[in-house]
Amino acid sequence: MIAPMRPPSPETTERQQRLRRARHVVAQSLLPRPASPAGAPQVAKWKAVALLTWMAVAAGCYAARLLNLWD
Amino acid sequence: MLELLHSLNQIAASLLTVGLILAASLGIGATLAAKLRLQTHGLVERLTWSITLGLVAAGTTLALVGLTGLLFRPVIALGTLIAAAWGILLVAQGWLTGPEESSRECEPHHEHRSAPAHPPQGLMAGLAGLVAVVGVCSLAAALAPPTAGDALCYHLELPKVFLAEHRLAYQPFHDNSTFPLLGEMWLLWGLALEGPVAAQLLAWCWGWLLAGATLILATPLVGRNWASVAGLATLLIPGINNHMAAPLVDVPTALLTTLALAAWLRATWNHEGGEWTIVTGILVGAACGTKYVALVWTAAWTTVVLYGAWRHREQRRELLRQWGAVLVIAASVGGLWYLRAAYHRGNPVYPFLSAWLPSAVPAPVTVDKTPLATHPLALLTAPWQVAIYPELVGGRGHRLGGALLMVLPTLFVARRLRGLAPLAALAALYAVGWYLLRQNVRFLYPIVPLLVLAAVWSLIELARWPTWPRRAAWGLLALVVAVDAIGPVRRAGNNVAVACGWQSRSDFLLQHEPTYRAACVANAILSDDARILTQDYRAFYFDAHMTRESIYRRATQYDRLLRPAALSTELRLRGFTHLLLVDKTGAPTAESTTLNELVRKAQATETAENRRLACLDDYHVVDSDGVERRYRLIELR
Repeated sequence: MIAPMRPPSPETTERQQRLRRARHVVAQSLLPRPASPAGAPQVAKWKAVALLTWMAVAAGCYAARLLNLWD
Repeated sequence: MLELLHSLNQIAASLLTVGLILAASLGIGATLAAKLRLQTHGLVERLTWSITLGLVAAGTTLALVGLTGLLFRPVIALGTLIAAAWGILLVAQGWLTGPEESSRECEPHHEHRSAPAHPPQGLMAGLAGLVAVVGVCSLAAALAPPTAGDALCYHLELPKVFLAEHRLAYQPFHDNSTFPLLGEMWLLWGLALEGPVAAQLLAWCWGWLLAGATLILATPLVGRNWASVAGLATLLIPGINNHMAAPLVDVPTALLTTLALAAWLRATWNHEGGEWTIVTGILVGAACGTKYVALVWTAAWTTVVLYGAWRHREQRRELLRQWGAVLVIAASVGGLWYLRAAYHRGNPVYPFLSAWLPSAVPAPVTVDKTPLATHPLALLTAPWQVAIYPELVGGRGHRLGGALLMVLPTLFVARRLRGLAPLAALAALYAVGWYLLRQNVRFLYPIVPLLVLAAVWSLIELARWPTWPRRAAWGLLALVVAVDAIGPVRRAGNNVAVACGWQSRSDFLLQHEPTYRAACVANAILSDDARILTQDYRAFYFDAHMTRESIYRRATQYDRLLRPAALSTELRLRGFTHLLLVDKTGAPTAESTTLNELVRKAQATETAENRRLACLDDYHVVDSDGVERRYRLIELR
């Protein structure tokens, strides 16, 4: 996958070098990277609880529909 | 005892056939990968790439052989044996171990890893346990003879006809006969070598290949261990594991689009060569040659690529060149199906665009297949509707499950994962196309691996939640996924007897497939030149030539031209020898009863001595959908 730029071999033409540089820049700009390093801040409790509530409602409704408890 | 041995023999033959097909695909695909100098790492990746590329090459070859009229079983068997021997030889020579694995390949592209390299203890074990249960149960269901409606209507029916006629015969009164049929070529392979069960077992293998494709797609973003979670989670999507026991082509379409995306990411990220661009083109073409929905996927992918080219000004030329190359290769690989449709119908995407491209057989009346409204509130609540009410959009059997609905909104508090944005954009664009064109939940499968990948990133980010909400979230998720895993277990319960050989395949079909009894009667007493005008599309188990009544009526308007009193004579003059009538009671949608009425009127004019419509079989069946069907097989005298 992404590898550091290797020095060009003697037979590499100028055009090929330009192409390789362009591809490398594209690769660097598109490759996945985390927004922040490890040890990122904890999610606020109220946000986590709100999302947990959503998960509980979705799970409950889904299970009820699946078990034909609610139409 | 003899019957049990016979059944076990059939099961062994089906499994052996699938083994041969996989070995042959591996042999072809591994050779192709070597020629293209593809760098793949890890056993799952190597198997997935090689078998999929081999399937594409073999399916395209079968299609070309079919176009030349050489579709004979011995030819297919000989080709398979040679390719399988080559595949087995490669494995014997140590192909499975491959080159030394680069540890860098298995890590996410993070300078600072944002997630623990290993998923929480118990997650992998729990997932692996559930996948083992689902896999075994799906295998049991796949070992039963096929009864899926669409499979019997055309996914298996068309290959059966092609094999009988030794060519890709055009059938004017079969709307599906000019669809893209690469997936059907794979089913034809199984049918030619053994029968419908071998073809259905291929669908089971496609599920595993899709899991492998998801793992390949996810590895560069979240690392190998979490990518394994994504791969396993894909198999726990209820619709996906349901399709592992039915010979339909939605999962292989998802497999091809997912691998195409993985290849494109490599082509974009790997600045050394164009081999992955070629692979992307091959797979996009194969996907478009399998199902029309891949055209929507290609349009969404094109939009993402063009946006990328617009954003990255300096690299625009390179990205556009890559995109153009992919489209040219894709057209070369998948284009033959569209050329075939254009040749026969005058419309490469028949029955779509029929208003602008009319054909000799008029296209069916357009029915609105977008049950969800398009106002803003409906758009906002669409994910809820699709997950909670799958009956509205195709049925429970194809549903995506509850876990994605629960997890994906947690992305709102997740950090940005670089690389996920273009994939999420592609998924969103495809979903919009799906929403506007055809709201069937199984047509969403091409983006399921993308949704699963996003869900896995959400799970990684759960580590940043406070302790008790995090534990509660994991508990809820485990509960829903476990409830969804009950489906395959229940399905297997109906099929375990036939899967183990205790019940014969014929007995199973008599119990579970409404058309099978009529097919047995017809196959036993009708001659080879019999032609049946049928109201039921499920024609796979009939040996006779079947013509769909509704399409024949649409094309010829025969019902307006003939006199009911002379129904039998006039239909015989049109080449038909028998009728298969179905009277439905309790069906949710009204269906045409034109032929039933014509038969009723004709029978009212007949006397006992001069009977021209002789009923050969008459029986009632209550199908799994609760609809009562009365089947009548009538001879035209």
